[in-house]
Amino acid sequence: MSYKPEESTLIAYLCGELVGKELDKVEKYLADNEDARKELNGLKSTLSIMGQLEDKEVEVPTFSFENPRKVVVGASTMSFWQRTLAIAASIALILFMGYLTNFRVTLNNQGFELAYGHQAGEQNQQDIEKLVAEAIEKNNKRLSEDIQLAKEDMRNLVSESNQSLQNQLVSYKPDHVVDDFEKQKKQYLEQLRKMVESSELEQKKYTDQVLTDFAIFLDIQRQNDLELIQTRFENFQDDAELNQFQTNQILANIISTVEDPNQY
Amino acid sequence: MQVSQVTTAMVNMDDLIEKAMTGDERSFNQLVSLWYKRIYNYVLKQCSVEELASDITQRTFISVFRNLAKLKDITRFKPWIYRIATNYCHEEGRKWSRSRTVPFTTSQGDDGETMIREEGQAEGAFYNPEMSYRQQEMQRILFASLQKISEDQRSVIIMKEYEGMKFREIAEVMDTSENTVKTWMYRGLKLLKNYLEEERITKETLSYEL
Repeated sequence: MSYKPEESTLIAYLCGELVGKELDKVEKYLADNEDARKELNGLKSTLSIMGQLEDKEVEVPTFSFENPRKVVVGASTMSFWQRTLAIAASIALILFMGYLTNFRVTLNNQGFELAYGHQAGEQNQQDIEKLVAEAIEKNNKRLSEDIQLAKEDMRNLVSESNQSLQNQLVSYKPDHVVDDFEKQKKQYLEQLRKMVESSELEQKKYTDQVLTDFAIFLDIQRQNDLELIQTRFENFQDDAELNQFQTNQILANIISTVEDPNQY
Repeated sequence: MQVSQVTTAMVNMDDLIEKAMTGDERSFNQLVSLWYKRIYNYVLKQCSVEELASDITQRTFISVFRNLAKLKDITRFKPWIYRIATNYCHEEGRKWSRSRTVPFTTSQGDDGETMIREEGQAEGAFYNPEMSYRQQEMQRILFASLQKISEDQRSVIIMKEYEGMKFREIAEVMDTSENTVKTWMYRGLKLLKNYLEEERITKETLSYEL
């Protein structure tokens, strides 16, 4: 006959409380029996889901047993005298704190008021003006002190600068000034001389060039003038020849007219 | 926690119990501070109502104080205190099951969305982020699922899953055999599985929701 574990055995296996041969038998049974394995897995999942149920936080009360029949839950475990003393001390502390903080309870037409500290309503116009004047005076005093300090700083700064300049002047001797001046003068003169020399050479070159160019220009101009004169002479000669020819023709006509008077 | 620390804690616990047995109120209150949260959450899972859980937890500790002297073996303190709490839970459960079954209330948020809160939770505790809503809804379903099974099955599952007790200890609390306790747990788990499946809650949806 095949082995089939009881429900109690299976749950013990599930909860890890099975040992020895019984454990081996259940494991073998589950290995051979898929349905049983599935069912046990389902129960395991259920346990896992139920495990999500969280514990709640709770305030632990104090139990006080004045006698076995009378139990006070949540009350203090102190004795009557201790409790009385604690209450008295608390009241004294509250009163003392109230005195220190100027605690007031007021009931008037404007309503019910709980307040502590200095009462703003107690200050009249004069008090406020006095307070403002004091504040302004304090502020002015602070400002003038600041200005005074700034002036002092400026004065110190100027004095330091003057001192520094004087030190520089003292350390600069007149001999040094003359030497330096002479050196500078020599340098300038040398530079001027070089500049003039350089200028003369350049000027000479330039003048030569200009003269050469002017000579060439005159030659060209003269050539042109000669050509022009020659052209004029040729024109004059042509005109003279033409006049000679016209004169000859006129003379020829006159002669022929004179020789034949019937022609008209 | 180191073995030495556990041993020290156990020794201190035994000392506290011994002193409390003599009527030392201070030791008893130290004992309360050590056990109150555990017992309260155990009871809350049993009844799902915070006010009732507070009430039962306080009654449990009053009973502990009155009967501590009768505890013969102080090493059995744990099963003993759970037994007292379980008895009160079963007693109250029978009363409440006649008057009401839904442990949670619903209310309307400002934006018209239905909000869910546990009964007894302060009004100011409402807030509306989607994730928080889902987590609250999940907690509500898990609490509700525990109410679907018998009180014996519920007690066993809570003691085993949340209180980490051995079947032997649970059997001592329930005053029955280990096999019976195991069978209760098996059947209770099967019912829970079916209920959660009806609510479409599986391991996969859980990882999505949370």
